[in-house]
Amino acid sequence: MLAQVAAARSDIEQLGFIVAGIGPAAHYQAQVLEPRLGFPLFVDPQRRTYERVHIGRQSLLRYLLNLPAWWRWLRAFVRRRRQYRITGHYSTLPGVVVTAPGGAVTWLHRGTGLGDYPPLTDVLRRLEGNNS
Amino acid sequence: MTRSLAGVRVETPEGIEVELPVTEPTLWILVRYFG
Repeated sequence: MLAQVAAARSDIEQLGFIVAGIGPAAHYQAQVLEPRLGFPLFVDPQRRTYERVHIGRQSLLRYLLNLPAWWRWLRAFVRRRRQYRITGHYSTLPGVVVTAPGGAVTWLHRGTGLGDYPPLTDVLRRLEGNNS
Repeated sequence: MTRSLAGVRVETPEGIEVELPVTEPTLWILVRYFG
């Protein structure tokens, strides 16, 4: 998702938004990625951001039995876009958050498993909606 | 209840603790891992 958003960054900025990424671990990966992506990355080892917007954790059983997530992993593997060394913890879930000036959350997507992000077109529509 | 990211403390990639910058409209991507 970070790469997709980086590719659409100018569209997002034209809508009046800046982009930032947050991950739970691996400062070294963030250091390498940040200049490539062109927007700021933050590391949140205490998962404070995730907890603030109630993006929960998944159990080991849910992780193992989450078939849509494994399907997304398989598609990424086939496209040679698989993550190799996974940092953080399997229980962490992804999300997308839109905030207004001051930090109020105006839209939130809570992921339910690996790679569960809304399509970028939906995100852009939400941003357009936030402007209208 | 209105949720807000104001005041959330995180770290920069260099390990410096900061508050999330919330002065501008922002799209935040929360990832399971960087990569």
